Parts: sequence; C-alpha cells; structure tokens
Amino acid sequence: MTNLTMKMVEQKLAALRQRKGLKFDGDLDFVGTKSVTMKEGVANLRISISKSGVGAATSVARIKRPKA
Amino acid sequence: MTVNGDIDQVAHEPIELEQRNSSAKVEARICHVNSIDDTLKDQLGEWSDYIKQLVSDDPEHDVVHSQTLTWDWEQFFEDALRSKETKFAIICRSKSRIEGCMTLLLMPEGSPNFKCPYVLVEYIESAPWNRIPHPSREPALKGVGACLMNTAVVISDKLGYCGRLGLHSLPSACTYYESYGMERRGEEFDSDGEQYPFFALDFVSESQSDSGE
Repeated sequence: MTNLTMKMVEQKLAALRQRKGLKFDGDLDFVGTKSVTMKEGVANLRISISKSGVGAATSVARIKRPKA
Repeated sequence: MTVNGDIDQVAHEPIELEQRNSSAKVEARICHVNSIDDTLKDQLGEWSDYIKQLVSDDPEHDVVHSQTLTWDWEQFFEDALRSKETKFAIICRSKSRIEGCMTLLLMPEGSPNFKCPYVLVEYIESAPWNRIPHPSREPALKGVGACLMNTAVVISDKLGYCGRLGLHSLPSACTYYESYGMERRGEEFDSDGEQYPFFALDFVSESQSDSGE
C-alpha cells in the first residue's frame, strides 16, 4: 500500500498517458453506439411508456445487461 | 481497521467536478453506500425519470446507449450489500443529486487475463443528465466517470492491491478505458456468461516495464 490519494492517482495516470501518448478528456461518454443491447433498452423503455398510455406491446425483448 | 472502515475513509474525500458548458467548478463527494434508504432510492429513481422525460418530450430523442434503460442500480447495490463476495457500492453525490454510481468486487485470486489480486469495476455509470444533457435542465457535469475510476484505484491501493483495476468493458466504452490508461487484455466471460473485452490498469507492471527498457 502506498497511501495513494486522488491527486496522486491523477498524477500517476497523467504520467502513464504521457508515456503511452494517450489523450484523455475526462468524459465517460458513450454517445454514438448503436449496439443491439442499447436498442433493446430503448425499445423496452418505449414499450413501458406506451403501456401507461394507449395500447400495449405484446412482448418485451430480453434485455441483456451490459457491463462497465 | 475493517475493510469497510478503509473504504469509508477513502470514500469521503470531497472532489471538484466541472460543468460541461461553463467549466464552473461544482463540489461533490464520493460516498460508500452502506444501506439503501428512501432518499437513495428517490435519487436513483431520478435517473430513469430523466430518460423517460427525454423520450416523452421527443419520442425520436437519441437516447441509445443509456445503461439507465437496462441497469437497475438499486438492485446492483442490494446485490453488493448482500453478496458473500467482497463488494462495495460507491456513489458520487453533488449537492442534491447522484451524479454517478459504481460497484466494485475484490478479486484476491486474480483472473485469467490478470493473474494477481485486483479490484474489478463491476458496473460504473455517470448520471444520464451528464451523458445526454437536456438544454432546459440543470447543467451537466464532466468527469464523473473518471472520478469514480480514480476512487476505485485509491480503494485498490488501500486494500493492498497496489491500485490494480480490471473491468469487462462495453464494446462501446473501450476507447474510453484505453484513453483512461488501461490496457486491453483479450476477452473474458463475466459472471452472466457473456464475453466482454477485458481491461486492466497496473501501475506496478507499467513501472517495471519502464525500468526494464
């Protein structure tokens, strides 16, 4: 254990990125993906909404659980 | 000190986040979730309410890629609190909202692609308003995910795992973890039986390979 602080982690990561030539903007940004999993998610949400309004979907796609 | 005591100590450090549109600083705090109370439930409910509102305002709104649609954080936290394995539930909280969530699992035996003890980031997500901002809502914050990841590194160090992290990435998030500084090490099957790209962060082997050059 080296008693890392958040600041020290940032510094270590900055040094690591510099060595690897990486550019990191700090965003956990997933925009732009069109994976099947996410489309299923959207479909499911829309089905949920329509259920509270008029009509209802007859089936809900199995939702996969994506990871980190 | 107990493991939970260690985590509590790490997870109360105040942090500073940045507003996406103005770069103004916003004070936030990393918190270790020890129990699930009504306030936490309500605040987690705000995530799905936000997405539902977006879709309700504009049915064609591009909300693809929001884990909020499929992930149930309340359930993840309950699982983490009840698990026989050592898991931790962590949130990033601003004044009135939960800005990000994460669960961690200790891997004392390592795994096929990371054969030493490390902390697995099981799930991590920034609040939907930070990823899919709505012009008429409160400003989105930037860097929540990085703050949570950095917290995981500190926790890993605190537990004697030298800051080592591993995770199974969504295919769409690989670029993020690469730019964060992690190394892709093939693929692994997760506990749900699905195969995901595996990423590792290991300062120790990095410094050894540097000194060996």
